[in-house]
Amino acid sequence: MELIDEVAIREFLHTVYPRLVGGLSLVAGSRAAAEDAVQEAVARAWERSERGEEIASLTAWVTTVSLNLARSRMRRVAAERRARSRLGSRERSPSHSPEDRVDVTRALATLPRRQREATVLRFYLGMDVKEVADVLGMSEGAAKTTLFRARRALSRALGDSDLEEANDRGEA
Amino acid sequence: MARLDERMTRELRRLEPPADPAGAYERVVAKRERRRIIRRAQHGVLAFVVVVGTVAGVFGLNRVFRAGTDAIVPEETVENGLIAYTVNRPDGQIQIFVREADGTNPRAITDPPAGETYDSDPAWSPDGSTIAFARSNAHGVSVFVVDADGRNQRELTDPSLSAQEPAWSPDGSMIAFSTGCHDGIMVMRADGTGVRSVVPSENDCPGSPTWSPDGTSLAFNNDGELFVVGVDGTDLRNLTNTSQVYEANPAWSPDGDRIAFVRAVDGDGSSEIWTISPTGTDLRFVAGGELSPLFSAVWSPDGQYLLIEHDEAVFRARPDGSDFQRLFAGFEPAWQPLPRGITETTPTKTPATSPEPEAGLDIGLAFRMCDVSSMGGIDFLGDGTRGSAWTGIPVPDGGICPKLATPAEGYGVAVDFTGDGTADDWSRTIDYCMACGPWDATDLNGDGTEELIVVGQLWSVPDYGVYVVTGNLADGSARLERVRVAAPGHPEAGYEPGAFLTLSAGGDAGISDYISCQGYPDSPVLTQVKSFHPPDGPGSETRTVSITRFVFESGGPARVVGAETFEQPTDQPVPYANQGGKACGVDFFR
Repeated sequence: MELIDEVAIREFLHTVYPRLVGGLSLVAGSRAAAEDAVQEAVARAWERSERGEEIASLTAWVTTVSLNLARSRMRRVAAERRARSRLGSRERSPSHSPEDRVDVTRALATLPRRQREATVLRFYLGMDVKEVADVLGMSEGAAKTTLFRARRALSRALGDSDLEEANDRGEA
Repeated sequence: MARLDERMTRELRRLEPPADPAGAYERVVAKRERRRIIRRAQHGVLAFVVVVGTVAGVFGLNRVFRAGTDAIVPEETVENGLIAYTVNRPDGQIQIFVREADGTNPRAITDPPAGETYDSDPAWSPDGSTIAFARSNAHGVSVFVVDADGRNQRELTDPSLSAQEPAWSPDGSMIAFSTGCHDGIMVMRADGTGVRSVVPSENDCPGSPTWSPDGTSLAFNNDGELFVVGVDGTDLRNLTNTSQVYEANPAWSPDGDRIAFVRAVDGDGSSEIWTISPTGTDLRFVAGGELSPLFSAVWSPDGQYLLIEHDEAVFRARPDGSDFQRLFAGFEPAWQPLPRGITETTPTKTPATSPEPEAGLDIGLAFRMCDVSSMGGIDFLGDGTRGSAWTGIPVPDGGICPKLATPAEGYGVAVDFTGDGTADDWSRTIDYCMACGPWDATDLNGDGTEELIVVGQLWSVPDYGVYVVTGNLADGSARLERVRVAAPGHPEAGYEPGAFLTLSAGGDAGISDYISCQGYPDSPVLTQVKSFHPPDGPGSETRTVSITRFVFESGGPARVVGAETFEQPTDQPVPYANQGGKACGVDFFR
């Protein structure tokens, strides 16, 4: 069991939070939604811990819960974005140019949710297959097949023969 | 392998740099304090339950397991048979299955050998007798064929060719395939001989070949564009020419007039299904919006439907996007063509047999279901008959009840119109089932019958779906259908025309939703208010508010009779911001 106090929260926000928000942005399609989901998950973990609930791993717990929050809010976020767009509001995705995002983002967007999440957990957050399986609540075998499908689709979309060749060999 | 991981990691991290943690601690503290307040306020009051309501649905959703294919209008020469698809096995293999078109009677067609073996890309021969597919393993990837009953499996290509995505020619004599990113698009005879190139690969990755019905051309995708080429490799044409739009996975319609494909536009996570003419004109939208991402679409043999892969499940829709409904969990669907007179499938709603009691089977469903929760006393028919409604989590193909269901498996709503303890119809259209259940029943349209309201989601903003029973029990035509939004809807508030109606009530970080009602029970108008607060912190002077007013038509959709979206200062109260009491007979906030 992990002690969750102010020191632990600050450490988490300094070390894990930046990358987790980045990864969740790829899943949710919105940096603002990702930040909100991760912050909410951290707050819930903290509040639960104060009430005596055991949280074995703050990173695993927050990753799982923030993914759940992002999923349940996807439709709502879309509605919000439409509303803001209609009102000429200011929210914009940060940093990268449209050219940077075109291929990978659009290819990623065509993936089913679980494949997209597994891809981000595996390749963006650097989790191993077992960790991916634990976070997504699936067996390691299921995680492997999910990653296989995702990699095959992405390599086909991106025209990466190296990726495709490895996928053909079942290297997930 | 390590190099490939690094390459993918580098690509993704280039897209989304890490977030700046400045100010995050303060926002977390504020959220924690808010949760403390909410918990104190809700202590002993808020029971997370869920219910789904019922209201009439004109577009007929829910026919997931309905007997027969009565809505299908067969073409003269071909009918729709079984659906082949692939599943992820718990042991890490991918396997090909087939089912009846109504989703019943799944059975395995391939049995991948031990080791990491992936059987994918199923494609039916034109006579419906054979399935071609790709098998990937440590040796490479090959095209195989197998009889429709799973027998007589044989390998057609050498693994070194990386042959995959097989597609039968309309006369069944040839098979086109892609080669990953190696040698482009190729064709061969149906026995695996006579391999020749059609579209060579030049540092790109042409794939997803699909034949024109006259057998003279192939459509395929390459580098985010759609192309058509003659089978002899001549007359190459780019159908799309859209550098800022990604197009892929073409599928030629049986009548030759349309090509369906997936289209991703603006990097906001959307991925939609469209169709285009074979000359590259007349682009038409099929499905997307809140249904996004949609991965691929293939045609039914009679051309009346598209099978669409979405969120690890197979859906069916008309080519104009109507009648969109979930069939079952799975990937890569392909619909068997049945030349007339070959055979007929007769789906049944008779409960399956099981050696052990199963929650779903016990109430007469044709599939197993875990964690069934029920509600009794619903007057669906307005004749005093009291029925029941259940919700639960259908058991996935692996046969194990999931600890926490995922939308990929769908969530079941079953109803007993008569009160005899047996489900008469069911639907798998709940979006979330972390604590789902029948919530309440009320007469939303004033026709004397009750609609069922089912909650499908948790956290602190439950979502409610509304279901109605249509048809007549006496003649066996009674059906449970989820209500959709009638045109023009209120897109700014998330109510796209044709989409399932989802009501929401409650609050969470940045969100406050309210439901109120006027004129109940004589002429009820239900008002949904959605308030989107700005992110916490500086600059939170205004919020966006959407107000949508619905009336529910008997046997039809929810019609928007008032819609407005505006921005207001946060120091002003949200209109209609009630937090309790019944709305149109239902306490959404209990």
